[in-house]
Amino acid sequence: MAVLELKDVTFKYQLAKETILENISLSIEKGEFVALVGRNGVGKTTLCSIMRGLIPTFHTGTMSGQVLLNGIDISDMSIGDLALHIGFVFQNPFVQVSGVKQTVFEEIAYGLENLGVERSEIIRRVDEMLVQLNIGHLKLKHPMQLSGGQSQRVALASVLVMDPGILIIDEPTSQLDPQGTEEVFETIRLLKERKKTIILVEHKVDWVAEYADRVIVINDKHIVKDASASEVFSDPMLLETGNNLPQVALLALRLKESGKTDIENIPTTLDEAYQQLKGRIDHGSH
Amino acid sequence: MLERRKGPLSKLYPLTKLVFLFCAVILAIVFDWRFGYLVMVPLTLFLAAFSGNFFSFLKKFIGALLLFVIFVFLFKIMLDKSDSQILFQWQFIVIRIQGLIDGLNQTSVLVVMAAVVLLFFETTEVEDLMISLQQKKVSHVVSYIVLSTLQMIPDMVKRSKVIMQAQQARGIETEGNIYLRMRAFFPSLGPLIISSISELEERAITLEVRGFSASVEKTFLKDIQSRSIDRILSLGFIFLSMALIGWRIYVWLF
Amino acid sequence: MSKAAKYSTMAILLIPIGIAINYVGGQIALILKLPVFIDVIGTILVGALAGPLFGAITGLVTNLILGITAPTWIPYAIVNVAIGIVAGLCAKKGWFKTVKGAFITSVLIWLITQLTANPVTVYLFGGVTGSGSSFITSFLIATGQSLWQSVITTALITETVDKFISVFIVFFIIKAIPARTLLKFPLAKHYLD
Repeated sequence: MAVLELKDVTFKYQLAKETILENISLSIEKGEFVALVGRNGVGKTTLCSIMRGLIPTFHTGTMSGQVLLNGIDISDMSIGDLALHIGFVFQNPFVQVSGVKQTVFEEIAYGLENLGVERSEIIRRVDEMLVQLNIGHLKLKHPMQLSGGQSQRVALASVLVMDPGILIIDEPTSQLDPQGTEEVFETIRLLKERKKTIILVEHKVDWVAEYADRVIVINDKHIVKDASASEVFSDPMLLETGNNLPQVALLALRLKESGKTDIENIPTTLDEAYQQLKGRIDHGSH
Repeated sequence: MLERRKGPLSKLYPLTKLVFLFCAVILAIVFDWRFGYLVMVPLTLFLAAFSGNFFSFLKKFIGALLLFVIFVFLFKIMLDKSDSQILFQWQFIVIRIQGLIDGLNQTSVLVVMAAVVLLFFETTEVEDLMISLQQKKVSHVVSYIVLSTLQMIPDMVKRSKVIMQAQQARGIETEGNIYLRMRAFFPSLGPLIISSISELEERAITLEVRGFSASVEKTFLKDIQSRSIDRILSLGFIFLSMALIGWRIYVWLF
Repeated sequence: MSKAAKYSTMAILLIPIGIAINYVGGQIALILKLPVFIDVIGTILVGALAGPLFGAITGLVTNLILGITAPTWIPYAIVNVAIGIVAGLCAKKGWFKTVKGAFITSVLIWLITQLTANPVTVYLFGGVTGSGSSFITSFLIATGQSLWQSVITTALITETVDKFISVFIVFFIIKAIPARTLLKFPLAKHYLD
């Protein structure tokens, strides 16, 4: 059974004149790493809010269609209770703090206190999370005195420790410098290794191509493509929807267009590019 | 703002100390200045010393009350129209004993209240108090509001200073005549309020994502327990207070 | 999913902000050496956006938290609570939308302040407010006025202008809040058409 399913969802914000998303249907299986791409303002964050159950109750508007979590309609569940099942991390790193804790350890434990987890279990899980995400050195720091990258990693930890079935991550690196971005993506790589079910919204397609199994492209209120990452990121059509292609793919496409070399499979990750180049070098040049 | 409390009294369950606080204030209302000044003030000073907080306590105690007490005595003396014994006279200044007694009685309750409240917070962490309240079924929302405010105030003070400096750089005058200064008020406070409110949405989402409204009974990372000494002391305070009040009523009736 | 739950988290979060604004407002007035003590802006704002109950809580907790280091503020909680309630009730009547409404609100808040603060000052504090205004009071007593007269007169002088300023500051601030944010507060419908 799919972990998360959207059935024909259409939504218009209360103060908006037009709908922002129409007839959205998708299905996410356990362990999948799905990326959501689309130009700015196309509705990716809206889609995240819908999946997290923040729409239509927190962000009001008119919504039709269904959102199912493990087969159950989430409109039957409260936003608070959904915290047990769906984790959510978003853009602004400095606002995702509880505001009541003074150390990173306690901050990460906060979600577990709210979920009524027993004390020794809380300590065990937080310790484990600190190790898993390599943030043990931040344990005693004040949550408001971290860098952007550190804050995002703590935000991810704080949500992950609650062991949700699915994690929605909305543009976590938009407000970070290159070092912060790298730190966050390193953390995301760790999440992928642990086979977490993840939905990631990101503009930095080079990074996304490295990690995502599947990519959903949103344009003009609809899903225009829903396929594997290598398929989506080697298709020049993506550029028409206002998105970028990974640099290696762009390079390969240009080379192909110029007719200078014959490339069959457009590589989308550095790894693939490397393999292809290596293959050619090993076979000698033509 | 939240320093870790030390000393033997900090090990007591917060609600025990709260019982002490309420009993003291009630007794101060029931009895006259002698209870407040001759019993409670020395007692709280002693407890502060016992707990290792003497100077910090004394400083706050005097700071909170000095001006207030001086003015009360001043008013009582000026308004004293009785013909009680004159204690001091110089030109038109007359200090009679009645004025002093009025002053003592008027200030007694507040002095006691200030003393026990300050002592309470010298020996208790707000976080522990919140946990003990939640253990007695007070909503976690109360705890959230108090602890969040205690972190937010210093944060906002810092931000307001930054904003004021930025506004000064833009040419907003913060010195000079009163109209100039008044006009600086809104540009200093306005942006602060607006930015705080804009952040509200994402903070609300964050809280929800952390299970703030989950319909589960909350647990606590910190281990705060009521022990037998706490039960003994609480009951002791209550019985003692009731006995004293009972005695006072008896004396008043006969 | 109940509406009440959605509203309450945003409104709950408004309270610490309101309390902090109360505090910072007072600090800024001090730094700018203004003769008025503006320390209820937060209470009025929360009352206006979330209603009388939340305004009252903001007022109460403000004085309790101030009371941690300055216990003489605690009894005045009743004043702050009353202001929060009045602000909330006026907002429900839509008075924070127009200048005329804001003016009426200012008058009502000024009135409730006088009615609640003065008895506390006289009965509990013997006429002393603990701020510089007590100098005015002592001057009045020295000229032969009774305690009540002196306290009321002092309060009229020192606690009037700041109430009008506070209400109008809140009035302008609400106008500056974007509609999509206003939408999420309990009293949103009074501000959006």
